[in-house]
Amino acid sequence: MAKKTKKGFLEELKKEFSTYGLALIPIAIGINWAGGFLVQTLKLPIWGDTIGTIIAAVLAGPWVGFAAGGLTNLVKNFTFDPIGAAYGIVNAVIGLIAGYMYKTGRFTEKSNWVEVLGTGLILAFAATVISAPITVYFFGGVTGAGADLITAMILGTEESTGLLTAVFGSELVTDLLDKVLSVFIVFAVMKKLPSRMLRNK
Amino acid sequence: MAFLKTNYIKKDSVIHSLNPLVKFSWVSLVVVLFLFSGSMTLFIVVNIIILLLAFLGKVGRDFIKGLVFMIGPIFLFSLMIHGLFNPFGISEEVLFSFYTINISLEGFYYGLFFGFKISALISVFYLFILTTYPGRMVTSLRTIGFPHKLGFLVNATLQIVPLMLREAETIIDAQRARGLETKGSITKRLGAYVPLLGPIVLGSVMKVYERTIALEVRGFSSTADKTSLYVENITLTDKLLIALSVVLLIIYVVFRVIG
Repeated sequence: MAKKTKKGFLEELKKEFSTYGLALIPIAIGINWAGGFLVQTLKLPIWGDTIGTIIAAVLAGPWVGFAAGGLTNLVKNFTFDPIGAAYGIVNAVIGLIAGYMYKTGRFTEKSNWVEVLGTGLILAFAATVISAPITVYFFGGVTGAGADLITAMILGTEESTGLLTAVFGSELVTDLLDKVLSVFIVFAVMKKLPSRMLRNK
Repeated sequence: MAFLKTNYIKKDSVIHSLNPLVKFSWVSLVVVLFLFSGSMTLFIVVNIIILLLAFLGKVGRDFIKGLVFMIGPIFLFSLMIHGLFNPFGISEEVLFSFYTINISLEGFYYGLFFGFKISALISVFYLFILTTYPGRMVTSLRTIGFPHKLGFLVNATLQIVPLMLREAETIIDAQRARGLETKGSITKRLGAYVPLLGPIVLGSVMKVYERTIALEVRGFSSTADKTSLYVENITLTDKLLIALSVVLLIIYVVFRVIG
């Protein structure tokens, strides 16, 4: 695997960003937004906006996932909702990791539920590790969402060791639920897709 | 095909007629300040300037309405997190006490600071959104050499998203008609998530091949020069305004380095 990336990273990239990969990105972004919309409709305490990113990463490759994730937040920031571009990198890295997990065969349509759960945990942890410092250093720990209440609760406890850990804790709670659920949904979708679509390896 | 109903408001104003690149330069300027500045006064000034620009762009009322809705919770949580617990502070000075709750002076300051800081960032993006037609935004980026494929990604996204949201609504209605419960306890609502999202994902992913072929038929991968349907002119005023942003940025950097 490592040998392959060294050999021709640019060629790999070109292959990923074929017309198919590029046509997939807007669809993936659409799935992300529809996921977010459903979460709002059902009033669930999660984000739901990385499912499209993971699907793009699985179907076309890690860097297409990266682009789909980053563009989701960027396009949204410039057209609809002025918050969130800063977290584009989180969504992008989710795509990158999910793509490599698929490529190396750790998260595929043939995985068992332990592997799927593991993938969800890794994604949740990665998302929290990246987003917590962004929240603390750029936004002073404030997101304007309900998760701030959890941050305040953790800060209020005796064992509290500062803002970063508090934000880390509150974001891990939502991310764990969100990413594990997202990964299982993608897994269910992968099982239903015709095998000719899942050849990217 | 209809574009996504963004928050863009069609008006005939000075701000609307500016080249989107000018507004991009404002956004970049505020983002730099957001990343590097620690001055509350500066952020309040930025907030006021953007508010004035919004009124100049004849979107003042919508701007305030939307902004209050977005930054209200941010100020609230910011004052709560910093005022009550003061995680960044060192001094113990108390601003006021309320039974057993102490609001520290320093925490209160940090609370306001982050409120105004985030508000400045949101304001500048919101002004951009309210006064810039998405199609023009993409065209203007093309004129400074952004690849056409990136332009396609943005435009295609704006076209696909409204279709998918409509599909999502149809699927919600269809599944409800079949007896799916979308209200009630959290486990019930979580359980409803999968049968709702599944059809959207499967349906749209299956369409990617058709779109690929449609794109190829229209010469998407062709290396020949692409032409745009819309032409975006950059006037002298636009150039001067962009230059002004750059000058302001340089002044800020110089002051930061000296002071």
